[in-house]
Amino acid sequence: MLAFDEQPRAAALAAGGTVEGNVTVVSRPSRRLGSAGAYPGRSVTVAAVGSGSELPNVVVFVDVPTPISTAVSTALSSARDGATIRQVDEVFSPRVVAVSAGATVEFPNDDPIFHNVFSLSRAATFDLGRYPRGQSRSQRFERPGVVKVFCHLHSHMTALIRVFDHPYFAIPDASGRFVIPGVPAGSRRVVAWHERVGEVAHDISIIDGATATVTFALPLTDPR
Amino acid sequence: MSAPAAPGPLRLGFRMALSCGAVALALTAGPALAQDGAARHGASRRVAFDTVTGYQDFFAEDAAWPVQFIIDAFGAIELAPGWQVSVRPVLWRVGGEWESLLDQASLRYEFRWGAKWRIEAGKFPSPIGLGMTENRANVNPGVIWCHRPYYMAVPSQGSDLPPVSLVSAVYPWGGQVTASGDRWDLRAGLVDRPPVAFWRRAAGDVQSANGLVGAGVTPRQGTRFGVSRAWGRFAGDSATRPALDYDLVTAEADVAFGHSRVSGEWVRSRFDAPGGERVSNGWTAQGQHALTPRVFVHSRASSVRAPRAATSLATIVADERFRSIDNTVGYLLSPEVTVRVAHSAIRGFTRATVDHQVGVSLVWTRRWW
Repeated sequence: MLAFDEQPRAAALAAGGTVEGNVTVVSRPSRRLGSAGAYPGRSVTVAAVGSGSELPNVVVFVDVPTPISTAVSTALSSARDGATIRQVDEVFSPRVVAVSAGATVEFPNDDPIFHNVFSLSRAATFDLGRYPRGQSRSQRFERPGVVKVFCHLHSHMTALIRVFDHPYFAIPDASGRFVIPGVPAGSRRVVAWHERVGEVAHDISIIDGATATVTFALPLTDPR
Repeated sequence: MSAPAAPGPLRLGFRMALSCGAVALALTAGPALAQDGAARHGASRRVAFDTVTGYQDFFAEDAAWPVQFIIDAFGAIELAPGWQVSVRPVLWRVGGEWESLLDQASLRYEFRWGAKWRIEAGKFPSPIGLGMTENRANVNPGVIWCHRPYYMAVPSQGSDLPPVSLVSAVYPWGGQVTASGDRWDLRAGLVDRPPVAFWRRAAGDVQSANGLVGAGVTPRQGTRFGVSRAWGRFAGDSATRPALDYDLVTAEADVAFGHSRVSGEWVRSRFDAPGGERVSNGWTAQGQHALTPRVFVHSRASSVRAPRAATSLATIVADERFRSIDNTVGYLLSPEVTVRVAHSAIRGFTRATVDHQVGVSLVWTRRWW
């Protein structure tokens, strides 16, 4: 995942041009109740609610055509950093991460209860089993695609992992700003993706050593 | 909720209509109040709504569990931080007829005050019995959507007494308080229906104050041991006898590790009777294991022993037993859809032979909001 302030990754991707810009989510705050609780259980769990901002759930990426070029492949091999999705207050946090193919995602459990992380997605099918607080399980993601992650024990817990076969992606920071360095020169399509909006794309031209700016306004509405 | 049921017309009781109306009003109140953008966006209002839709069928000459189709909806709205109104209407089709029940309509308040607390009032699931924590088609790992003893009356205690179960799937009106920490949980409540009353209301049912208490310890994550007790009146007085009381105790255990879970409970119910007390007891043990991310197996064994009284009620003529074993294989078509196939061996009360059934179920769970 290439976040705004990930300088080491940017250094590894020094060649090519840079895409930077800003994402605005035209949205009402998330109002979905964390736990519905038809059977609330023997113990009390104070219901979690989603944060107001949807910016952490947006992934911006450069749509690199396949088969990938040698330059992309080289950049990819040096950019297989993993990510971490914690389980806190019966919520996956962060809810959306992006990684390159071959990266490993850690799933530490910070709750005083068991969780059982699993996915049935085509890009990755796995079941990490139950494990308690203080323990972590990990999963390596080899195939590009969208991986929907759930908890067998808490049906209200969901997370999304976007797996790319290139390293040219980022998740906006709290202000909506993102930077994607080292993008191969040429005409490129830059895409902002949110699970409820889908993809919003802009075509731009990348020049070696230059910075291209792109702005996204995602028309996000609450689910009906 | 799922259950064997006699055919009957679709009934929408006054309480259900009132509760559904209240929730509908609450859900639509936001725009009516909204006179500015902030209010229209309802920043403090949070909603949850899910449905569980299921189909099940059994193949046997004497299939005793004919529920075929069920729609189990649950909606909740957070009125303010910690305050939640919830409602759960259930609609099912059996024998060609639709029936409906309102299983839940309650106001819940959760907060931290040292420990974590929950106060609930209204109509809610009986907190007595392990089966009541799994009494929904998507939660129950078996092809049968409930624990069998919870929907089964024990042999007759007398012709003028309401039917009772060892422990039953009732959704009483009342109030309860629950407190818990990382290693313990406590609860106490007062409800209007005994947790031994037959799940379907019957002639002779008594509405009375029933006390409920329960406690549990969690020595390590994934392992819990609990006990509970309920007491009260299960039959009002009549010309021939006084009112009759009951006393129920349960012990339950739940152990989970890796891809497996094992749980069980023991129940003892004592009923006052004209000729003396009647004591029933029983147990359930079950295990579940995920073989792959999509495939799981589950097995549940239940046993109930209950005395059967003579017509005079003064003597016990038999000590009847019920036993069942259900073995299920489940397959997750998707995170929302599960197919289950099961074999059940059941020996009912007063039956000398074991009935074998093969069951299939398809359950679709959808969180809409």
